[in-house]
Parts: sequence; C-alpha cells; structure tokens
Amino acid sequence: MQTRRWQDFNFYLLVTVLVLTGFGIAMVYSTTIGNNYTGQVWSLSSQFARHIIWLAIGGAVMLFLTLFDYHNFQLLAGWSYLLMLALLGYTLVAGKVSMGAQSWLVGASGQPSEPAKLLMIINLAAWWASRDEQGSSWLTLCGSLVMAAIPLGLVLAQPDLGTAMVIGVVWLVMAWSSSLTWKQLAVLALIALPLLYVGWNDVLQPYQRGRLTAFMMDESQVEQVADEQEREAVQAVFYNVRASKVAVGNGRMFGQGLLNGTQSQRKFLPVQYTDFIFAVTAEELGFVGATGMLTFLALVLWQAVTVAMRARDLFGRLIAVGIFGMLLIHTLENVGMNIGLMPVTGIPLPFISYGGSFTVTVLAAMGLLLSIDMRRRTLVF
Amino acid sequence: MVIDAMAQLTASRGTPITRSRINVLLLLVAIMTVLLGQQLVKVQVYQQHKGRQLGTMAQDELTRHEVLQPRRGTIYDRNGVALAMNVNMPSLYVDSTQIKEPEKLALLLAPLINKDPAEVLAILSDKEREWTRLARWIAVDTAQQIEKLTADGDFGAGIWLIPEAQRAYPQGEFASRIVGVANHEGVGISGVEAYYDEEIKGISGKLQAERSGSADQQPIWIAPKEIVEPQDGIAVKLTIDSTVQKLVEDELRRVVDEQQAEGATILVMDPNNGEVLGMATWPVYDPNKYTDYPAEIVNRNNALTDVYEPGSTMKVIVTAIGLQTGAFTPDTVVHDGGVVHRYGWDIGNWNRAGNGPQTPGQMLYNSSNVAALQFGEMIGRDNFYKYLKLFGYGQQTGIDLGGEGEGIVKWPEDLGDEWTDLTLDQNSFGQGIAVTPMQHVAAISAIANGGLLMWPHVVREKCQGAQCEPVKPRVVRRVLDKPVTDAIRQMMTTNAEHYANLIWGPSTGNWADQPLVPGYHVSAKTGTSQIAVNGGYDNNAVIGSVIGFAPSDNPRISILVKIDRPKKAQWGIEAAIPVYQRVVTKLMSHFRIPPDPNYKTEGQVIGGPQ
Repeated sequence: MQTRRWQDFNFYLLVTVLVLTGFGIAMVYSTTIGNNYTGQVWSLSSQFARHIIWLAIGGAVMLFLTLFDYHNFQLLAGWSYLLMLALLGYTLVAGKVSMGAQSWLVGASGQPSEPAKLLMIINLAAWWASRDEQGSSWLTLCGSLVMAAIPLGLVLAQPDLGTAMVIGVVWLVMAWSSSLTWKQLAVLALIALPLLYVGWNDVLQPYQRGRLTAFMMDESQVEQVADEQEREAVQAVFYNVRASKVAVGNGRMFGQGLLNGTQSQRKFLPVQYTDFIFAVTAEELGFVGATGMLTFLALVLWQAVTVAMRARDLFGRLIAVGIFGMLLIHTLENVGMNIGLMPVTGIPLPFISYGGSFTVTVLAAMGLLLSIDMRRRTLVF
Repeated sequence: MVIDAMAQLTASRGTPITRSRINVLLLLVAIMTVLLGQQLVKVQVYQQHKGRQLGTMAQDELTRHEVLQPRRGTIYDRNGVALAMNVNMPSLYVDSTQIKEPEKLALLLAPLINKDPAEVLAILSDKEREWTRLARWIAVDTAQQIEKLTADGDFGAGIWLIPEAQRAYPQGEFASRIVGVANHEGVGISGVEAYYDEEIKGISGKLQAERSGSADQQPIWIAPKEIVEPQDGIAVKLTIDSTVQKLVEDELRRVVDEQQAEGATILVMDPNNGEVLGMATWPVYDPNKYTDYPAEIVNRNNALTDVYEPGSTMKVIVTAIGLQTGAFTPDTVVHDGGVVHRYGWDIGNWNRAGNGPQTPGQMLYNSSNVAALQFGEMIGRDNFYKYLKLFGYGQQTGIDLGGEGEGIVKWPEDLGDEWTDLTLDQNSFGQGIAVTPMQHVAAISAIANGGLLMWPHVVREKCQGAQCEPVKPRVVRRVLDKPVTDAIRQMMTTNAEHYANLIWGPSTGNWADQPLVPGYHVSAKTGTSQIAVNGGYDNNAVIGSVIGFAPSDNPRISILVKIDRPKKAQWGIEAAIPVYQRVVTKLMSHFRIPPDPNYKTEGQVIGGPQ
C-alpha cells in the first residue's frame, strides 16, 4: 500500500519555509558578522557558518521526515516519551546556568528542550489518537494532562518559563482540537486559575515576577522597586525591552537597510541573534520588512491548520495542530517581547533565530507537516 | 474496485476536527497578527513611546557629544623665553570591567602612583566602572614601569596610559608672582594666567559622532557628523625682561637673606610706556607645585595687593603738586625748627632737629617733615587731594593682573566732618595714607617721563598662531607739566648723591655727597615708614623704601625698592639703598646706556662697587 503521493506535496508550505529561512540567513548574517572582527565570517567556527550548517542538517532532517511515514512514530510513542524525559532530565542535571536557565548543555551547544517539545507533541497526538473512541472522556483528558505535566515540571525546575509556556499552549491547542468539551474546559479553568494564582504569588521569586512584568513598567516604577536584587533584575529586562523598542522604532517604514541598523550593529541591543532578532529585522528592514516576515510566519501557521484539517487520521491531525501551537506561541511571544507586548522569556523566533537545536526542531516539524500532508489520501492500486 | 479505491481515497480515519474548532485556531492566528501588527504600527509608524519619538531616542543614544579641549596658550617673556607652557604627560586610566586579577594589579600599581592599595583595589574591582583616571600626569619613568608591568602580567585590556596636557612652568619659581598659575583643571587662578584666562584657555571645540553601544569594544567613533575644532588659546608675551627679572629676584633674595626681612618688593617699570620690566616680591613659590603653598602666597602679588605708608617718599609727590599748582616755587623757603605745633599735637622731624630755612629741594634732601608739612599746607586741601587723585592714589592702577589693592587715602569729600586739617599735615610727609607699590611706581614714573601717568601693564603682545597683536601703551592722563618734572628730577638727582656715602664711604673714605651710580645721574628718594598696627604704630619695625628712576635726564627705568621689617637696618633705608644702587648700576649696563666718564669722584668705579 503506497500512501505517498507527490501530487499532494505541499509546495506552498515548502516555499514559505524557504522564504522564512532566507530571512533567517540574512538576519543571522547581519547580527553575527560584527562578532568576527577579522572577517572570518566564512570560517567554519563563525556563528554564521554554524547557522548554515544547522540549516543544512535541518533540511536533511526535514527531507527524511517528509519521506518517512509519520505513522511509525505512533509505534514508537512510549520510547520517544522516555527519550523526551531523558533529554529534559539530562538538561536539568547536567545543564549549566546560561541566560538564567539551565538549558544549555555543557560542552555542546544544544538545547534539548527544543526537540523535547516536538517529542511531546508526537506523544500527546499518539495518546489521543489511540483513545479516539473515548476522545472526550475524563480519563483521556487526565492522561494527556499527566503526560504534559511531567515535562512541564522538569522545565519549570530549570526554571525555563518560556518552554513551560510553550508546553502549556501546545497542550491546550491539542486538547481543544481533540474534542475537549466546554464542560471540561470550565472545570479545568476552575482548577487552573487558583493554581496559577498560587504559583505566581508563592512559587515565583520576586525577581522572576519582576522580569515578567518589567516590559509594561515605567522607568519610575523600576526605580521604585525596593529590593536591590529584584530591582537589578527588573532593570536589566526593562532596558532590554526599551533598547528593543528603540531599535524597532528606529526602523520606521522602510528600515535602515540590512547591516545598517545602528542600534543593532553598534550592539545597543542585547542577545540580538536569538531573542531580539526580530528587533534587528524591524530596524534594518523597517515596517515593510517586519510585516512581510510576520505575513510569512502567519502563512506557515495557516498551512499547519490546513494540514491538520485535511490530514488522513487523528494522529496526523493532532501532530499538525501541536506544531501549529508551538509555532504560534513562539512567534507571538518572541515578536511580542521585541515590541513591548509580551513578557521577556527568551524563546527564539522560528526560522529566524540563531540556534542549532531549535532550527533543526522547527525544520523537523516542517518535515512532519509535509509528510502528513503528502499522505492525506490512501491509495490502493 | 474503483469505488473502493475512491472510498479509500476520500475517507479519513478517526474523528475529524470540526470546522468550528479549526476556525478558532485560525482566529488565534488572526488575533496574533492583528495584535503584533497594530503594535508594530504604533512603534514603527507612529513612533510612540511615552511621549517621545523612538527614532529620536535612537539617534540620541547613538550620538555622543564630546568637548574638544583647546590648548592653553604659552606665556613668554618679552624676549620669547617660555614661562608657562603645556607638556603632554601620561595619565593612567583603567576600565575596571576588563581588569583581570585586580588584587595583584592593585598591589603592584599602588606604590607606583603613590596611592593606598586598598583604594586602588576598590576601583579596580568595581565592575561597573568603565573609565576611571587612576593617576594624572605620571612621570615618564613611572609610566614605563607601568607599561612593563602590564606587558609582563596578564591583567586584561583595561589599562591605558593616555597623554594629557599638563601646565608646566619651566622656569619654576622665576617670575611666578607675575605669571601666576593655572590649577589642575586648567583654570588660571592667579597672575597673568588668571587675568587673561579667557583668552589663554582658548575656545572649546565639539565633536558629534556616533558611538558603539557594546561594552566589550572600545567606544568607536564612527562617522563624525559635526566637528568644531577647538581654538587654541592665545600666547602672550609679557613686558617682563628676564634679565631684569632675574636681577631683581636675585637682589630680593639677597636682601631678604641679609636683613632677615619679612618681605620685600622690587619693582622696575619703563616709565615711558608703563611696561613692567621686573617685579619681585617675597616670598616666592613654585607654580609647578602650587598646592604645596598657602593660598595667600599663590593667589597674591604683594606688589599689587599690599598697602603701606609711603613715608618720606611721598614728599616727592607733595613737591610736584606744589610746583604744578603754583603753591610754591623751587625757591620758596619755609622755616624748619625741628618741631612744629599743630592742632594740639607736636609734629617733628625724625631726629627732632631743625634744619633752618628750607626750599622744596632742601626739604627733600633733609627729608624734613616740618618743612613738608608747611609746603602741604601751602598747597591746601582741595588741590592736594585733587592731585593725589590725578596721580592715581586711592584707586587701582588698572594693571592687567588680578587682586590689585586701592590703597587708603582719607578723601575729604568722603570723610566730611571727620576729616581734619591734621590729616593734610600728616599726608604731606607720607603718613596717614597708604599706597600700593604699583601705584607709587606709576606715580613716580609720571615725574620721570615728563608728567604723564601711564597705564602699567605686564602683557606686551598677544599672539594667535603667527598673528601677533601688540598691546598699546595707554596714557591715563597728564598730571604734571614738563618744567615741573624737570625741576623735581634735578632735586632727586641731588638727593641720590646724598645717599651715596652709604655705598662708597667705606671704600673711598669720602663721606661727602658723590655720584650714587658713577657715570649716571640717577634720581632717588628714600622713605622710612612706620607700620600701622591696630590704630597705632609698631615701634619695633619699619619699612625701608626707595623710589626713583634712572638716568635722570632721560629715564629708562623707574624703580621701587621696599623692604619690610629688616632686622639689621634700623631705618630700613640702609638696606634699601644698596639694593637700589646695585639694581640701577646693572640695568644701566643692561640697557647699554653710555656712562658719563666724568661723573664720578676719586675712588669710584663705573659699574661698581664690585
């Protein structure tokens, strides 16, 4: 039984992905070229070269997954869940503190929580797909909650609030798509809201709360923070957001031109090749370029929904929805924090940000989408 | 089969996601796009940020304004000898954010820059300090030691030796009271440095450039948009002649040393144009180390600030006023009985001995208080004070140096009923009036030059680069007519001969009047002043002074010698006259004035005594 039809290959999605990857190459080039004082940007050790290599690896993974029948993942569900736990557990134990969270592995520049997100999506999809008959039962729901809660806990322990948020949103979007009833939603909300309240007030440290709310503070509010440690944390974020907004604003309508953004190139912006890469885009390519990039990101999301809509089976549909949720929250959060709309949590922008594991994860997700879409019809000869 | 295949083709397994739920997902995308898009419009198109324009904020962050310091102008003497100049000395700057091993570095650096290691460590380990000047103007060999130290050890990239302009006074103490000093911030605080500060310091320039925001790079000056070059300060050439200055300073040191005097002033001026040629006062200080001296030494020039009773030297002025106003002639005679009774007081000569009938010339020769008093009364209150004012007493001379005193004159119009006729009597022989050395020299110069009060000044030329502009001499006013000054010069020349035996008597055995400076007719008048303290006079000390000019018939210099509280000379003038004699003798030679070989007595040597 041949399930693959090249006629059903989603070129639309592929082109969109290629365009976004192109944006990413340009922006990573622009933000890392200044870090190589003697012009060895083409040497293999430069960040730009590494980005290209990761893109190549990601492209290969995407191609493999396109050709690979995603149903096989349903068979590997339990094992892949263990792999995910291993990745997150290893991160927690052996990871080193970097950028405030233990997400960067010692010795290797990899962030295991990125592929873990994709593994979680596959496992959740497999769980719901296997219990299709009892889709809206409390048992199914609770099972999925437990499956999401374990990685969520591991991530929170780091503490990596950004990834936790992604897991939460992914779970919600997938649950919503696998016939979560209004009643269940209401009950969950009744349980979750007090939990969130307690978590915010009693679990989070004041400096963590400060970091999350700094983006909407005034300078005078920042100065008024009494505790010195907390104020420093708030100040750091506050000035990052301000620098980012200034850079975005400096782009105006048509931008300062690639490589010419003064705020970016003169390093007024922090971590610009990952967290604040959108601000660089907005400064150098202007409102036109930034909305152009956003349009393509929206197109990918739209394609993910389309893939979910017409996928052949529930497993494929839920994978597509999960990927949709992951890309949605990454985009909203990253762009939002760059323009002062969302708290600063430091999660990268899909296709654009520098970073090997995330790039490969996103391209792998695209491979899954293409694979699902290409196998949407069953062919029997 | 076909139907089966078609069925397989269209059938999907599992529960589909309902259209309404899909629509919610799409709605999320729409909401996100609208939210982000709307904020982008706000930030990028409307540029709103708490009432400020984001693009402007970006420019402000990027732009750095830097003040470009002008170079302070050099101060030269009249012959081009540099008295104040700039030298570039290395200063030690540190960027604490880039310092490694601050503890070790602090221990090694501290002794080199004379600082407490703990203090240095506090700066080096403060990771927020990007740019601190640890030491200013380090000696060159110390700088080399620091360079070696940083080259040998691995202390990071945050240590810099940067040349900075330091004001230097290559001649040290020499002429320091005139040149003054600029403080470590480059602001003139005394002397010419202070008076001409605005011109000498120049005009700051500015640089507007874009900078880098990163902490791991040096600030990079990119694309300077606007540069206004600083305009260096003007260089000034003083009227001071280093040869004259050296001479008067040496004589000053000698007399202060010999007499253990508390202070002294020697002033030499060109009477014809008001240029101050030499000005020495005690004590002296080294402007290179001005912080080691008390402020009153650094900030004052005693030749301008100190007031003293001129004593008998004032009799010259009284004579001039009388002749000019026609109150008396050179032949008018008054009687000097040694003591005279006025307004309930007995007023006498220094030895209370009478000199008999006295002409104005004899009054000067004998320094008769009784005669001077009577001549003063002849002049009368109105003319006496009118002319004191014309001579410039009781007012600043307007010399181009700061801190000038006014002197004290009891003006009848100011005192009203409190003014008494006794004041005029006292003033006639130089008591109850106080003058500054500068005022007195300016006044005597008016007699020397034929009657013009000249504006005294110390700056002769101002140069901006190669373009020099001379400072023109200014006549303040005409005070006396030529015949009057001729008559007085005659009297003062006779006077000078009267003082000569003090110098020549011991070597020639001739104690009669004789040329004071053989070969040259010179003018002089001495004065012994009592020192006013707490409303009375100090009975244990005097100020001995000489004023005069030389040569008498065509004066090239006017001179004042004033010695405060000499310990050995009872009347002060025994200390002052030798100084006058030596200075004038050497200056006549310095100005290459041909001597009259016949104007000397037996045993006298032109240019001597050696």
